[in-house]
Amino acid sequence: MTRRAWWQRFLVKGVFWRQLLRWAVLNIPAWLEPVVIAWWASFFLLWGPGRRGVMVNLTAIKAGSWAFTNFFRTYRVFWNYAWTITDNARYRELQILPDWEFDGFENFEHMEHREGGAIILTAHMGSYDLGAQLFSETSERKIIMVRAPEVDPDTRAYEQSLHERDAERYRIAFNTSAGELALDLLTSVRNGEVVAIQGDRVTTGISPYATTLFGRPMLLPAGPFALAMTARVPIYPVFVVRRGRRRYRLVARQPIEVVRRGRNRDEDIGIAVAQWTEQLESVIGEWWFQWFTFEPYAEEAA
Amino acid sequence: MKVVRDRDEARWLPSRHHFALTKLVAMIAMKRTTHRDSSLKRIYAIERDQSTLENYSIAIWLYLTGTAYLLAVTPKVTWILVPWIAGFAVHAPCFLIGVIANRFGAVDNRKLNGISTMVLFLIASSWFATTDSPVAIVAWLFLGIVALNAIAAVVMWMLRGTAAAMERRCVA
Repeated sequence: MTRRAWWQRFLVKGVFWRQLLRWAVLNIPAWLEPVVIAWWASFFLLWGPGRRGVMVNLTAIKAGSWAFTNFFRTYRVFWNYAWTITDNARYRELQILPDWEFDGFENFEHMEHREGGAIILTAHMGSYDLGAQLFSETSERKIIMVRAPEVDPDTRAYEQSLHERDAERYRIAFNTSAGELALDLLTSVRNGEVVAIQGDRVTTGISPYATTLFGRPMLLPAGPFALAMTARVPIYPVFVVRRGRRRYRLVARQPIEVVRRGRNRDEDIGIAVAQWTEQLESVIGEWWFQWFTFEPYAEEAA
Repeated sequence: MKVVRDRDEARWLPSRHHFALTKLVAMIAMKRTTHRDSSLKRIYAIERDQSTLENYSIAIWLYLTGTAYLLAVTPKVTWILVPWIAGFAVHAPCFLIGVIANRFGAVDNRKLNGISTMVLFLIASSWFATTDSPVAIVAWLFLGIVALNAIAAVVMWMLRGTAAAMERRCVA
């Protein structure tokens, strides 16, 4: 195994920043946090690829927008991201929950009371980690969160060590290999468990489904839709939106049924994907400042 | 941690505030708040740093005070950078104190850093208050608010029974 250079921990996805965040949560007084977060959000604007990624995505979300305006919008995205990961770290370290609002509670209850498992499809918005923690505390069902592993090996190891502490409340599965995970998730859903998947990003090794978002090409993971079809369970679009300092809203939309209608499986999945992208466009359009996608999605699809 | 469900007045619970002055304001606001019907279900966390108004007010106040002090001691040519430098300078002592406290085995140093930051601002304000420059107004304002908070702490101590009753009614 090759030894990694010492400075790699300081790269933007390096473990140093995760450790610094944990340290800050335990050392910075809460009433100083707005200044600290404002300052560090401006510092991370120096991260060129991330800044550019958000700005490119913003030109798609806000058609006809100016680069000058989008630069300041990008700051707003970074600001919200900083608050979100801070709230998540605070919960992990100090068990401090934010305030919660529930929008579409009837859909949430429908999922809770139906027999059999369910799939929650969410996006890289607000704090999906906090949402899972809230779910694990309010629901009797076990939740399995599927997420992309960290790129940096040290960061991956650090995050995994943190998740091990939460293992009793919910389980995290990393979508490194579609085939291995699919059977595991199918068994879980059939056992009545809830599987939460981020449905707005495709990572290496995951089968994609080509569609469009805000008129530009986008790759979405096909897995959640195939899983819903095979397990015959509905998909619940759930978004966790930051509404202010230590205040979040859990938005639960009407379930999407993935029904096998004919011989063409892709066509049936396409109907569900279209419903999902419609939901995504409506939520991202309203809360664009909380869509934490730092790579240009259309370039990835291309 | 305690939570309150679907009671809007819980926003103003004194126990969701940190400083005596804001606890007192919250108590008055809570008496005036009426429950509003909404389709949204809500959960309010009972934690002393939960108030947005309090935390943003204090953060902005400290930032502006710190910026004014830096402007007073730096040459005019650097003024364009001062607002950004002040953002770091305000929380820089927390790094130093936090790292030293870590060396002695302390993990959660929020309280220590909170007290240290306020003491540093008190020392700086006491010094700037004695100068003839316009920044003395900022310094006196800082000292005035600290004094007001001390008075509010006495009032809150006298009203501790009422505050506890409000908490019981809402949290029960």
